[in-house]
Amino acid sequence: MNNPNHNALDDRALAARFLEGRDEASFRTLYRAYTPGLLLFARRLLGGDQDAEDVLQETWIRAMRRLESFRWESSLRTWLCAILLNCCREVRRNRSPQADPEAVSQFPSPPGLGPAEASQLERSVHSLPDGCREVLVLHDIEGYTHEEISSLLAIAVGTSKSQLSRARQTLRAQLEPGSGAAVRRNP
Amino acid sequence: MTDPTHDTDEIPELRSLPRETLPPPELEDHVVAELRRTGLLRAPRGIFRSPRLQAALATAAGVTLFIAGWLAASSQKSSPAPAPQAQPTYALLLRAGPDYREGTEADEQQRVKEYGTWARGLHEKGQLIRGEKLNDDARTLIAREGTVSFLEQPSGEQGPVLGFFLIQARSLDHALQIARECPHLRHGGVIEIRPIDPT
Repeated sequence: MNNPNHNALDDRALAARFLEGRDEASFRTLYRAYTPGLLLFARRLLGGDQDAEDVLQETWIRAMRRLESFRWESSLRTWLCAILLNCCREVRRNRSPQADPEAVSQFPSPPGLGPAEASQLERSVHSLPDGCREVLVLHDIEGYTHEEISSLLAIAVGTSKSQLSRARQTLRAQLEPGSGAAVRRNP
Repeated sequence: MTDPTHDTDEIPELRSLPRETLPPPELEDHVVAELRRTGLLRAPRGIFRSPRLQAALATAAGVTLFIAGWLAASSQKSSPAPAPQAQPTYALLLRAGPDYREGTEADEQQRVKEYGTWARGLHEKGQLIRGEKLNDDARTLIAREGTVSFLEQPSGEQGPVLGFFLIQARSLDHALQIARECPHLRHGGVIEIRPIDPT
């Protein structure tokens, strides 16, 4: 999240204030705390920037519509991710078969990887089948556990583990030296 | 959240990928505008005292004052505008809309002239019946799922109504054609064209 001092207590207070008067300032605070993460998550799941931004907007609309019934049994971040995942799946279902599979967003470069290597790694992640990609992104990038992924994606824990294993194998094969997609860290 | 039991074949580079990105700056306002349109968000208290809305309302007020003044002046002359023929009446609802652009004080004066020129043209053709600014001290009642909620603000999916014109036109298409010439569109405003039911 953008603001390291933002925490779950803030979320509950902001949500309460939002619900009390449909307060714009409270919404904007929540938006700024979670959008940087949600947007990158959506880009990784969908590829295109425009789709990701549309999905982000729809996620916030659905979330604010359902906020009153959110029971705070998970973190707000996890709940928002679940809504965003559903929106992404709807977009993928409605996508034209002619959609450009190479239309991958520009991603920020992480420390330790050069821009070209980071871009190649993102493209390799994007090339994974949808199910594998979702689990890989959630587990290896977002840091969710298999139990959490099981709940988020409505799949068995075993399925989450096998999808992750398959995703890593595929990715590793793509990234091996000589595959044309090798990723090397900066010295 | 990290699962410590399943990391033996992890690809370490994945952990180093960023988890956040800087959103496009305009995206936040788009999302807020969409939430307002769907009624999920209310404008901050005192929005009608904000410079943006004040400017928008000042424009509408200026337009109305101009029209009212001009019409008053016209009525004192011996050559009134042609008498309106028996044509259907349409309401042109001028809304702020999400893309409405406020201007500087100098711009506002220019806009008053633009709106006034447009309204004068309509009047000369006998097409303008009335133009009014709506006061911002509005209340909204919303019936939803058997209950009525109350907002201390105007409502409307396309932004608050700033003012309206009643015009006479041959048809809805003709009214649309007239509305297309309204300067409000050049400033990012929204115009809703509604036939007045004669019954």
